[in-house]
This record gives sequence, structure tokens and C-alpha cells, in this order.
Amino acid sequence: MNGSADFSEDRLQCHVLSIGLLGPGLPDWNVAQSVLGGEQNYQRADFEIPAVTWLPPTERRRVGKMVRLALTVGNAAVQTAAIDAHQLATVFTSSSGDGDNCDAIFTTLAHTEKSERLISPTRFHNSVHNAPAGYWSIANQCTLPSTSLCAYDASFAVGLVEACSQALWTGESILLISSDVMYPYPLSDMRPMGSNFAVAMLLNAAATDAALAKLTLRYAAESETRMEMRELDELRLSNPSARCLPLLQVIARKALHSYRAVPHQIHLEYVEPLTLEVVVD
Amino acid sequence: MPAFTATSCLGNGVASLRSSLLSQHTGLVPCKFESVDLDTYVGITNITEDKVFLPAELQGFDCRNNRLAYLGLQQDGFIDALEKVKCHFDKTRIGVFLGTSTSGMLQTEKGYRELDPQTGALPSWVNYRYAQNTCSVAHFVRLVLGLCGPTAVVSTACSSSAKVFALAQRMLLLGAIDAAVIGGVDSLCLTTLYGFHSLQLLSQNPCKPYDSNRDGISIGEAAIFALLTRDDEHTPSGSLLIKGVGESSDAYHMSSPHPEGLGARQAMQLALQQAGLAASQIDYIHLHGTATQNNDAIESIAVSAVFEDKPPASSTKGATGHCLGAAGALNVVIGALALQQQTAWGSPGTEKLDDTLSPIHYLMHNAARPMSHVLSNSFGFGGSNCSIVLGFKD
Repeated sequence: MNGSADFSEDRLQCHVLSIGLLGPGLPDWNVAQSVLGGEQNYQRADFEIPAVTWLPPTERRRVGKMVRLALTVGNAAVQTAAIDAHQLATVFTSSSGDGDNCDAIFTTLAHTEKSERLISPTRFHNSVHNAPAGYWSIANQCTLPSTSLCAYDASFAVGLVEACSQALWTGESILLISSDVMYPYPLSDMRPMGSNFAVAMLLNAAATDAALAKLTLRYAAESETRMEMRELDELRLSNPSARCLPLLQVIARKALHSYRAVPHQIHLEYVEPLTLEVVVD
Repeated sequence: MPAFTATSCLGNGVASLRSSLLSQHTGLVPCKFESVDLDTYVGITNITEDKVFLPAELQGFDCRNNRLAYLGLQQDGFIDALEKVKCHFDKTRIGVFLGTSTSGMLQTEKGYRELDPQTGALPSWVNYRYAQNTCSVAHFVRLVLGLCGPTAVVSTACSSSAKVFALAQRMLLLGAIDAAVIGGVDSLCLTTLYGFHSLQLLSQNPCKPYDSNRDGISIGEAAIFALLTRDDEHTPSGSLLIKGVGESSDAYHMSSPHPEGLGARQAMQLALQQAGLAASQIDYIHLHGTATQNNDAIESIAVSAVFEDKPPASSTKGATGHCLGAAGALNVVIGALALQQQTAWGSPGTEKLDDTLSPIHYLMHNAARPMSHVLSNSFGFGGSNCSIVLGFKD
């Protein structure tokens, strides 16, 4: 394999307009920026996933943690950038999907009697991997394209490549939402996650004054970048969506210390044997 | 699209699919799958469930979905076609993008029946990463094919394996990859059968798309693979091309389409726009046509709104069943066969066309006719729509 297989001509490049985030001890991007930028200590704290009050009441009653988590960070990114989500294509990515819903369906189906294998229709339509995308489009009355991806622990990086490629393709802004929730027992035995975590990034092909950073993506063979602080590296490894942390750290440092001179390069977990190199400047 | 293959209830490989379509044969049979006691029909493939099937080094991936993927990959010289492509391109620049909705979840469903009575733990033979996880099939196919490029699963319910065409097209045209193995693999499992039953959308008969007595879907399973490369000066004249892909969201309801078919309309129009074609240049529409009351009614509204000239249109789900996460790619492949055969397909299973539907030229029987462009529709839960225009290289 060629260690440095490059995109042939046009590199995948995009600009980050805003970030939304929700993780343990990281209640929003402002706090995350201070923590990742070294201005504030990291203190891990469990958190409740808020209700999505802006969903229509019928839909609001039907959604579980996964949809609430994804929609919360997506909304935070859109609010920060003051962009109309009605006009925004989306890329959703998740390794897990909705584990609680999955567990409930499997538990019902484990019954041997036909009469007991009654899944609720809402549970069934919520079982699709694109449930967050469906609810998001309904809440924002957005008819633009949306895709929903999964690539196990590479889900964040795969979503970033897809969002960047769509931004370049359409010339319009695009919202990337990566979210993973902890499975309930017994699935949690097979797929342990230390926390719930979600991140949203609003991306644009063209630069704007308010852009936080420019990203240039390339496949690479270097090993993935770790977080210097042990607690943050544990968090990175504890949830597939938290694999974004090395990237967020560079963006945070750039915002706080404005070290513009040198582009900073990190490597995100991607599909083995590749990693995704991201140059931030 | 230099190579493609399809394995479904109409047999392993394209030759069997083509001859079934030509004879308007249906592959749907009464459901005797696993422990399912529903009064319905299914489109089941002939994968073995008992004996060892996967190569020893890939045993960890063993589950119905990956067995079906493996069976599908063996057909139509697909692996040989890929080997030729591998001679030209770096293996890190050949992507694998597949659609699935079920993944290998049947294994976990069975595991939940054998939870440890003391601890409630799943049995050790349930493999989360390589069977249950939504990305399992793409990981598996990438290993079988010896590739190490970008890999992902698109999982947007019944449009999943149509949308991989859009993803691969962008990556190819942006120069981020040089070739892609795309397609869809979806296999029978309890969640989809009992799930559609809970929505009262499962037919008790072989499904009857666009029929006045249609009463729901028949679930099928399939493994579809296609090889995509960039169209350039080396592409031979007469080659099959993906000319346009259109995607949209309904933004209406999780499991019901928009009542005026707005999302479906938008997807078809975007596909035409990208192909640089007028609606009048489409010679056949391979419909999504699942045979539920609502879906067919709304698709007919959307199609009649976009296509004033009423090109022939039909659904073949009465032959294959609705293969959910593999349905989009299967629809494209059957559309490609229509172009190759210069035959617009009829609608196996449909007996009496529903004349209360919006006026479209629905084909009950195969019709040989000159065709240059075919449009294929796929729509899914969550209001996810994708239409694809196929044609020939000049």
C-alpha cells in the first residue's frame, strides 16, 4: 500500500463555521474550547441529554436519547452560526444507532409465542439508522438531501470526508452530526462505551470571515493522534464520536491562541489501515 | 458501471435474474423463515445456514447478512472484474460503500433468546462488531476483496443502497477515489418482518404493486454489487453510465411519505437535472412500487407530476419482494438489465391495475422497445428519497 495515497488533484478542503458539542464535562463548545485549549481544567461530569423542545409535540414524545443527543448538538451548531437549518443539507454518522430501542425490540422478539412478538410501530420506525435525520428534517422542515453513515470506530472521520465532499460538490454549507449513545445491558457487554457523546460541525467549501478553521483532508498511514491529557484520551477512546477530539483541540487552540503561522496536522481514526490526516489552518 | 451482479430470490447472479424477469416469474414464497409465524410471503435466497460457508480467516464475520454478501460476490465474475481494476489503481483508492438496513442483526435476535439465566448476558457466539454493527458488511466485503480504501455503510432504510451511488459518484468526481465497489446487502430477520407487521404493511399474498387489491409488501433479501469508475475517454461506447442521481428529504413523517409526493418529485427532478435530460427523454421508470396502499398512490402522484409524457413505468417487487436496504441497488441493476435487453419490465403479481391512482403508463407485461434512459426510484423511512438515471455512453 502507498502510505501517502493522496487525493489526486483537488484535495478535500472545507471551512468550519461552527461547532456544537455535548459530552461528559463538555456541556457546550465554549466550555470545550476552554478545556481543549488549556485554559480550563477538564472535569468529567455525567450529563442528562436534554429534551428537544423545538420538535413538534407528536414527534417529541417518540424520540429516545439518540435522536435527542444528535438534534441537540446539531441545533447548537446552527444557532451559533445563525444559519437557517431549513436550507441545510446534513450528514449524520453514528456507530451505534439507538441502543435502547434496539434492546427493546430484541427483547420483545425473543418471545417464542407469536402473540408476544408485538413490536410497537413507533419503535420499529425509530429503529432505522437514519431516525435522527428523519426527525431533524421534520423539525426543520428541511427537504434537502441527508445521508446517514456508519463505519464503526471510524464513523466520525468517514462522516467528515462525506460532509466535506458534499460541501465541495454543492458549494453550499452542510451540517455534520456525529453521535453515539451507550448501549444498555446486555449489548453494553459487547460494545462498552464510557459515555454518551455527540459533535456537530457546520462546514462550508468557501472561506468566511467567521470561519474557525480550514480543514484539508487526506488519507494517511500515520498512527492516530492521541490527546495529551489522559482523561481526555480516555474520553476519545470511550465513544466513537469522541474520536473527533484531537481535531477539536487544534481548532480550540487556534481560536484561543490564534497560532495562524503554522498549519497543524492531526490524524483521526479512519478505516484500517488508513488514518485520516487533517491539516488545520 | 463496468460490472454488476445481483443475488436475490430470483437466483444467484444476473443470468438467472434476467431470465426470471423475461418470463415474469416471481420468486416470492410463503414465509417459513426461522421461527416466524406470520402469514406472509418472502423473497428468500438460497444461502446455507448450517455448514461452514465463509473462508476460515473470515469466520468471525459469520452471520446471514455476510453469508449473503459472500454468495453474491461469487457471481458473474465480479471478483475477476475487480482484480482487473486493482491492476490499474492503488488499493487504498478503491472505496467500498454499501447500503444495509438489517446488517447481521438476526444473530443478535437469536442471542436474546439464549441470555444467561443468571447474569442476563448474551451468549458468546453473538458478535457485535462483525455481525450486528451496521458497518459489518462493508468491512467484510473490503476484506474479501483485499481492498484498503475508504469504506462506509449508508443506512437510510429503503433508500440506503441507492444513496451509495451518490456518495461514490461524488468521491470519484472529486478525485478522492479512483474506483468504488458499491451496492447493498439486506437479509431476512425478525425485526423487519415483525416490524412491518406492526405497521400493518405486510401482505398476506405475494405483493401486488399498483393493483387495486394491493395490501402491503413482501419482504425480500438480496446482495447487489456494482463496480463504478470515472467515465473518461477510455470508456467504451455503449457502456452503462450512471447519468444522474437525485436525493431529497420529505421532512414530513417517519414512516409515511409526503401526501403530495414532494420529496419523491424533487429527487426525480434532481436526477434528471444532473443527467442533463428532460423528463420526456426517460424511456422507462423502474418504480419503487412497494405495494402498500399509500406508497404506490403517492409515487403515482409524484411520477405523473414530473412526467407529462407518461413513459412506461412498473415495479418488479412482485418478483423480488422489497429488499429494503438492498432495494435501491437492486432497482438500479434491474433498470440496467432493462436497458441491456431493450425491454421495459412488466409487473409480476399485479392483476388489476388500480385506476384510482394518478395517471401513469403502468406496464403489466414486458414490452420490448428502444430505450436510451431509465430512471430508478427508491424511497425510505425517515422520508429519504433517491432517484437514479441510467444510460449508455455515446
